[in-house]
Amino acid sequence: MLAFLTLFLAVVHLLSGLTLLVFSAWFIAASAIAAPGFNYMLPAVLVRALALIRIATGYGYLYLGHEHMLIRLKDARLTLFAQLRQTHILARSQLNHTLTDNIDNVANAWIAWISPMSGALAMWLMALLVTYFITPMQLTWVAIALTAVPLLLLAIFWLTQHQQQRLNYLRKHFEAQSEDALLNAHLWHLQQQPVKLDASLIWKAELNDTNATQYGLIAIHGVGLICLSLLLIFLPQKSVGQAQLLIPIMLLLSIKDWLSAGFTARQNWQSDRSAREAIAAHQYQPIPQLDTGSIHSLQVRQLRAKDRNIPAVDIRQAIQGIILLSGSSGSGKSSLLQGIAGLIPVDGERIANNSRIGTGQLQDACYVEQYPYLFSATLFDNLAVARKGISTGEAVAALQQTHLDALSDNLQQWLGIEARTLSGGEMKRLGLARAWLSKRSVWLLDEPFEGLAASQIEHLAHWLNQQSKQHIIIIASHIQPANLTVEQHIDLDSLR
Amino acid sequence: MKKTNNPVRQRLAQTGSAYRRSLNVLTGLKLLQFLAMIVTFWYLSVIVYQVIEVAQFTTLTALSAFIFSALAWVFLNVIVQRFQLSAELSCRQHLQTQLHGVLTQRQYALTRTQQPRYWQLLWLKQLPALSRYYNQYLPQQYLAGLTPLIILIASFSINWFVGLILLLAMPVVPLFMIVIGKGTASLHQTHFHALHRLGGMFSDRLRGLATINAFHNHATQQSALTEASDQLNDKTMKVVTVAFLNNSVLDFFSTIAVALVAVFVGFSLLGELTIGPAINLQSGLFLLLSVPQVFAEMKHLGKLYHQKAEAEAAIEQFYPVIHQAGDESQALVIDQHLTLRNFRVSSPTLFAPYLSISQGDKIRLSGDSGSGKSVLLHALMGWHPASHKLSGKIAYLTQSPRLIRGTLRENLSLDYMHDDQRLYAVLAQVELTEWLATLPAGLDTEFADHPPASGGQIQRIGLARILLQNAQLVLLDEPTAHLTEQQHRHLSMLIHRTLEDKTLVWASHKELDQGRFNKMWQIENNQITERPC
Repeated sequence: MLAFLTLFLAVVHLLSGLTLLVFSAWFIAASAIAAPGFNYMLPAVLVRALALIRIATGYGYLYLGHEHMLIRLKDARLTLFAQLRQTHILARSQLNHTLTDNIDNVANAWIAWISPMSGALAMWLMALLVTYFITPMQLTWVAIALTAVPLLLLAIFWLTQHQQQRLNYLRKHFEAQSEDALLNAHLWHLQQQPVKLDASLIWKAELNDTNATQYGLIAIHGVGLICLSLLLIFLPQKSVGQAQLLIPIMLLLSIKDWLSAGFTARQNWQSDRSAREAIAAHQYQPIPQLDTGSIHSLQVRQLRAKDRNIPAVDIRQAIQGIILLSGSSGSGKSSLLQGIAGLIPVDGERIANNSRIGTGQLQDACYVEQYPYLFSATLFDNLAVARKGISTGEAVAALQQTHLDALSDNLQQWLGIEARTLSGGEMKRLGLARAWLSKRSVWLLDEPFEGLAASQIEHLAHWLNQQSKQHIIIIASHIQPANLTVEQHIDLDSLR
Repeated sequence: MKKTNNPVRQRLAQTGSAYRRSLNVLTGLKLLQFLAMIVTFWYLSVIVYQVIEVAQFTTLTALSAFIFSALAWVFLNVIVQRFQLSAELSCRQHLQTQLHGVLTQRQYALTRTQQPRYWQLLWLKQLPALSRYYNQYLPQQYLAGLTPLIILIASFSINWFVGLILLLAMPVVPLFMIVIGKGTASLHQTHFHALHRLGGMFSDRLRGLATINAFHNHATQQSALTEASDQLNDKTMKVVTVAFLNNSVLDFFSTIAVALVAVFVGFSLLGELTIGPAINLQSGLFLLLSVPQVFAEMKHLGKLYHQKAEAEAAIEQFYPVIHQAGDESQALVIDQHLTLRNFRVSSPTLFAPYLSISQGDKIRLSGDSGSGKSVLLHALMGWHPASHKLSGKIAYLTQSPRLIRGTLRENLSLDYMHDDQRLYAVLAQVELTEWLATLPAGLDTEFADHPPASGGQIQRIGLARILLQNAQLVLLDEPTAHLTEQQHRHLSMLIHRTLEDKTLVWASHKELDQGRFNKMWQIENNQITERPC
């Protein structure tokens, strides 16, 4: 409903503008040659009324158009988010950005191209009809100019049809190449040629796309002026001295002005289309859920992440205590933890409570990433993620457990974008606080000691020793603190 | 450009001074195009007067003058378009060259301070935003200021009353726009935090999806997002309600101006109104065509207004990157023996009264994590501003090794050419012969996201790269930081063995064999002291 109201206002806005132009031109021409008794009051009132209609619908269109766009944006985001429930986005982090951009693009469709294009179509028809009924003798030249418009638009479509794909390809290529170069910047000094990221090809493609539209508009302008010249050169005797002759003249003179919004919307239409394709092409892999009830014992046989060239691992049956998976970076520790948690596909067997379990995320296990993700939200909200219905008291207790008492004064403090106000060590301990709050039996901790000072490591190891009396804790680390009580130690480096 | 105290504007102006010339040319061309349009309007009104009011066929002179000026108008439009395209491209490339300069100098010390996405956005969003501002927004700003004057002069010379109406209306428009702009800004300020937080929430939750799923927190987040979206939309609408008035004010004045002039001209032609010189259809139509042009360029400027905001956001990212602390360091060529006296780094503060490096030295660099070991090494490489830097064949080995996408051969040789025998020999030196045998295509095995190599093996490849370079001096920045204790001992031995004949500076907070070092640089309380060991 709002969509059509937006469209209606846009069309009325544009049509009233064109009518105002045509009508005022006719009015002054008629006034110049008016016979005595010419009723000038009515046209004068009409001119002012048209002006007011144009202003009012202009504001209404902007207002409702944006309201409609925001509603669409909200719906699109929430629908996408609902689809992502217990799924895995099969893409690199960058695609999150493009996904967000694409959704913005699609939500904007009515303002970006549907309304301007419909308005342009309505004005095009109006120009044709007005000429046909009022100055039929000038129809030829106006019709030629108007026919040129869709033809030019088609030509531009044809010329730019692969532009968007090419641009997407160039962007992807640049992103992949530059990411590799940037992550390997420590090697630049060893190279003969200095590394220079270059986006010129992308820019050229972008500018050429805009250029196509601009040249199209110039062509329309030129065609309009040529037709106008021809109209004046081949003016029939009958048309001379008629006030309405000014109507086709004005239409042709300003053809570029009143068609430009619709014409430039072509680019928006094409990027909307490619955004839709990109959103549809996104792949989400569902993470199946596995409810084993409370886990009393856990065992792993010949387990490894699927399609990875890393050694398979055995873990003897454990009912509590700490299992240390030690290994240097790249030895497959993280993927092993994720595999045990059931977050990624694996080869091998997982055995919980003495029975072999299928694939899926273990409900009673908690995987803590090497760099726990902290939301741009309050500290309390970041802790409350761990479980439903966490109270303030529990949150404070969790902070005390993980030696973050200093933060507990201000649970409502905003942590900023990706929690930049916290140190690396604090972020790590918030991850552990979440594990503690989750009340799950199995903890899978990825590099919990990395980047901590020696005293902090000792402290954390002590706390983990205590927690291991109630939990099965599997730690992946290249650091083995001296005071960590380890039940099982598996060295991944030696398995290679 | 106006003098201003606003630092963002100053930075924009400073960066843009290089594009002054093309800005002037572009503005000049656009003005010419505007003049051609006005001339076209004039001759058209002459023709219309002859054809409609005098009711005769038009004269050949008027017709050819009209055709000629119309062609000039279109032709100039093409020239403007062509010039603008090439100006934008060369502006972006010039900005890009500045980035190359900084990155070539600061290298890893600079890139590591931000995620790759940050740098990519500089190229994909920020540079285009700046070039659009310099080549579209600024010329348009000049045009919007100059063109009303042309129309004003033209209308005064025809009818002083019309000129007077315009003269009175013209300042009203910018005045209204300023008032509304201020209103919008203060509303935006009021809701700034809310808009910022709510606006970023969706992409934040997408990034944190794995965490949300791991804790089964999806339902909670979904309802939080719903609530946030509603609030965001509500607040945004409050801001735009006022912001859109800006557009409407312009629309109001341009529409009213057309309507008023049409009515005035019409009534004058009818003889109902006589203010100022008499108006015929020729001057009347010319006025009707020209008057909307008072606001046309300003309207167009309004459409480009977002470019200004984008450029201001972009310059805040671009400027600090380009204007890093100046490079005034003294370059010391590595030789038999060199000394650094009063070596100084300003941020973070580091000072060494005396440091010396002799050929074959094995220098151990120690200090707590965060004490500035990496900064010192980066400064010696010339990547971090300091009083001195070293020049010569130096190699640096990082603590977080990676393999580049490509073959093992490319990973070892980088952009040099080495024959296979040399590569095999070096791989044997770093004890990777056995590992090489497990690779499906040997030296031509391609590595992608998950290369079949552990951290220790990748670090050996790093070592092999250095051996292939024949560097005289090797700076080691905790090369074993991410390895287990056992791997650390093993790799350390290997490094000592393979780099025996090189000069080494080795930063580590892990235990190293003291007997293999002859010097020690200790960082404590921002002070670096050298002593023998």
